[in-house]
Amino acid sequence: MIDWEDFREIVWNNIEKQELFQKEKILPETNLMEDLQFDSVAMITLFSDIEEKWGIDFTDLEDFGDRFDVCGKIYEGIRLLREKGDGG
Amino acid sequence: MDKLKSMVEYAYQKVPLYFQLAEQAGLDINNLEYEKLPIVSKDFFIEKGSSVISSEYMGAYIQGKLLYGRTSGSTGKCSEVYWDRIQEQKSLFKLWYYRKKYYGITPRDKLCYFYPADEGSDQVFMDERKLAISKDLVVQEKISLILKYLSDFEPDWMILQPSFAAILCKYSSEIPKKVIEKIKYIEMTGEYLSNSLKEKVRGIFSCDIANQYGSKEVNSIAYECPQGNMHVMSDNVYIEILGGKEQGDICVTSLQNKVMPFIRYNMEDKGSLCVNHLCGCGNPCAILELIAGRSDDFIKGKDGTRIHAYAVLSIFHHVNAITDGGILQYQIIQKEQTLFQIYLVLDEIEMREEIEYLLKIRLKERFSDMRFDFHIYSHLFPNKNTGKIACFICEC
Repeated sequence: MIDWEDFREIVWNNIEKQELFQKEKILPETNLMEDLQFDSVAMITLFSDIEEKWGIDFTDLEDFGDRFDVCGKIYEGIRLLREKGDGG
Repeated sequence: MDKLKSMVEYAYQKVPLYFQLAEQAGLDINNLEYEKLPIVSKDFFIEKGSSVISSEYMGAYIQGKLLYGRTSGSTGKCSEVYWDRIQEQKSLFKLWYYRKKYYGITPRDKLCYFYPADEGSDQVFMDERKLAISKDLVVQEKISLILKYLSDFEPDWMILQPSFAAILCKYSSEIPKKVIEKIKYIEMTGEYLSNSLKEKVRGIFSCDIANQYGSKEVNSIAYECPQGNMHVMSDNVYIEILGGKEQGDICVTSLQNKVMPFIRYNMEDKGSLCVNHLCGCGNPCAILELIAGRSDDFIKGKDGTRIHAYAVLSIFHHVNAITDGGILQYQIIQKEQTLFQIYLVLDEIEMREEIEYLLKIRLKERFSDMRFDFHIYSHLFPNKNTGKIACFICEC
């Protein structure tokens, strides 16, 4: 089971200017680039951290290109990959 | 295809340039058929000025809030390109993702790259993670200074144009061992990359080498996987080969840039596309193969005829293949209608006689009434204005 709070924590840790945001306001509909000022470099660091933590590879998702910037979609992607990996 | 349709509809509804094109072509902008959309040339785009900017972003454009860049002008045509910050970052994301996935490169790694001379007055920028060196230093042949910066910085990876990679190969004995040993990846971009040069660089640096094809207009178009295939960045662009033949002009539609949408934009490069493949890397995106020579490079015949420069370039490719990569770099300049100057950089100088002989025979067969003068160089320097080397130049 992938905990939303664990995911939110990773996102929070990758925000460059945390003083501008509040962790509890990171919601499923939050857009990393538009709402949290992530750039492509910060995104890569975030995805590296996620892949390392949960042992997944985002390119295994066919629609990866459509889900890499919205928190809820990324979280759902992690769950799908974990289920796949667990044979689910 | 949804993204493509959405971008096309957006462009034809929001961008003055595309309204005009729709009107001229008699297109119904509420019912667009992609194959009937006009192909847009670089010249046409440049001459249209601000009518290429979306009405949605005109306010930001006027207020100077957009990201701005200039193309290198390597086609002889320099244009301004504008991006929205977020769209630009989205267009860069996948390239970074694949750098990490394929080659283990992350933004935390130390990068050295060379920037066009007109982008800043300072020749070198350095911080903890990046060393940016002006291409002016290359053109001015200040190689020892460049090597000193590399030695002080010790990059993990570099972004190079093939012409500069060839120069580094030439001076490889002067590059400090610690620099060579530290570099784990070199990304080549901006010019045609021959296999022979790629293998030469790999041999010296013993690192991963990848070719990246892109432009300021759309950012990354195709990127080489570890299997040696250049996969199209399908989140960034929709790509076509014009003419319905196996090889032809590369035409792209940007899927990210809504500020200046590029719809069926002719890159003036030549290539071929393979869509049905099983690449060992697992990436299902189409594979692009680039061909040396711009689509508008033409040899001028005596009687006013024009022959595409590829007729000459293909001879060099063939000789390079049969000499097992004997030619590292070349440049052909048509000085007069019957006179060509050929500049060669060879892998081994001992091969000069053989390579010149092979080239002369084939060139004479094809162009019996033309003269070819050969010059052997240790390296070729890029053009000081574009920072790049063109394979073929017509000066007559």
